Amino acid sequence: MRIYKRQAGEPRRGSTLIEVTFSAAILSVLLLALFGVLEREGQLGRSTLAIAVAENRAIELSGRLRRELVGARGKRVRCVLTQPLSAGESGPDSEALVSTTTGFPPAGALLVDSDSLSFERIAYAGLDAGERTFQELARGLGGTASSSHAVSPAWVLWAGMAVPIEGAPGPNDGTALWSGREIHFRGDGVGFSYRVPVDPDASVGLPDFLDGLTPAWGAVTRSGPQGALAHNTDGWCVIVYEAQRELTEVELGTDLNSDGDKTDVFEEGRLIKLTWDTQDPSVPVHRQALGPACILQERDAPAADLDGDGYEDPLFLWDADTRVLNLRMFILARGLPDRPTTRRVEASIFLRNAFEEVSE
Amino acid sequence: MVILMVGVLAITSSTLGIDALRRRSHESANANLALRRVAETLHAHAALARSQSDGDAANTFSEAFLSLAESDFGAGFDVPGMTPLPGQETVGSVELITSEAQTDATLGVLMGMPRDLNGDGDASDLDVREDARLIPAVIRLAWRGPNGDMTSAQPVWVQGD
Repeated sequence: MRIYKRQAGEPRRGSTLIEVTFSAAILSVLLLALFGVLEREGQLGRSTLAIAVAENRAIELSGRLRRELVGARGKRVRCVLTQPLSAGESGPDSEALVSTTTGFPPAGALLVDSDSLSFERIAYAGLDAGERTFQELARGLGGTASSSHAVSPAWVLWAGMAVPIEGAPGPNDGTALWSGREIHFRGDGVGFSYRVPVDPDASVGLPDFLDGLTPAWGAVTRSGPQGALAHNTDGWCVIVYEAQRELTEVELGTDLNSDGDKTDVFEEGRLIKLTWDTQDPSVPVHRQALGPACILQERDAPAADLDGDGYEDPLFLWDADTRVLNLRMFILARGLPDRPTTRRVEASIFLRNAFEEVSE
Repeated sequence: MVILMVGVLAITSSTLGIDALRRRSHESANANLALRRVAETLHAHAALARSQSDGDAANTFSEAFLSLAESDFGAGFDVPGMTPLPGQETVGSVELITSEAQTDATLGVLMGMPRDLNGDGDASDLDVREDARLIPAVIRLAWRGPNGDMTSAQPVWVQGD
């Protein structure tokens, strides 16, 4: 064995153990930093794509709604009480007698005396075939108190629909900002009630959407043989928001609606189209999802301000006079776990056919 | 190490590229929605004008429609999330066409102009504000985005009786 010994004046070669260790440490730090950068790049890429996908979904949904509604005929979904309603009228056998239930979905909520101190939100679970009765009432919902209501010209409204009101808003009304203008409205704005052209004799010849010589209106309901879908002039449609899952600002770690706190609770849901037979309660209600569950709403606060601009944001706002249905959706995209992002998609749909003045 | 750095730079470049594309897609979608929203509003104005028009020469469809449209969009309109070009106050504008002599070339869109708008059998009237039965309009957007200055235009026809 030979031991190499550096001679005097000979240049030094190789590395000491300290030098090797130091170099390896620097290399490790650099590699870790690179992996960190790569990981973050990947997250950013996923976030970017997730936002794009969410936006595309919302735009696709607005296009689908346009195709569904552009030929539809909207209706002011309202009626008046024809019998006084006592504060104790509640439970499975309870009912409220009204001028009509046409256009009201098979189950939902009512706004009664909405411009007075006896304002009450009432849920119902059924309609009668004669279109005059709301059945199975649940009283005093949404922070309101159960109270008695007299027969009066005051409208009973379907809570799901938001409709503009004239004059100053009441304590139970909201104010939305559309195209730079304030619009005072009443209702939750989570649904829209309408009928579409139908062909009552669909099995005969080409579709003509006529009943005799007049346009036929209705919906495609499960009134065919063995519950098959069929064109039905007694049919009616609503599009309504349906919550799917709960989200909290605490879990998300962000102030989604820019109201200065992180304590709000939201729901992510989708739009559902319901069709039913207004004359025959035995026909099952047909449900059809219109898009993915990506629409954001604040829980128990429909039409709440979702972008922190100080104005309410109803999902639907229907102006029967101009026949314009305004749609505003907030979509949640979660590409980065620590930075969820919301996107606002707005659309206006002009319903080419006049709304129905009948049955109020 | 050099290879790793090159890889990281490539991925960063790709991510920035994807983000730029996403922004462009976002802007384009936003623009399309805004164009459609204004077009739908013009159709709603036309419906209202048809109902307000009583066939009298002093209260024609075209006068009622132009009054409604100009009060809404005469000064242009804004689109949330979009920045106007320098020197412009708004992102959007609506050009209401009341001259039959306008051509597609001067308008910058393909919409079949010049055309008879008042139904008198010619396409040469220079002002049909009072008797137009068919009114063309061009909705335009011009905005400054991260990918540069962008423009978009959509022709719309509204019909009287």
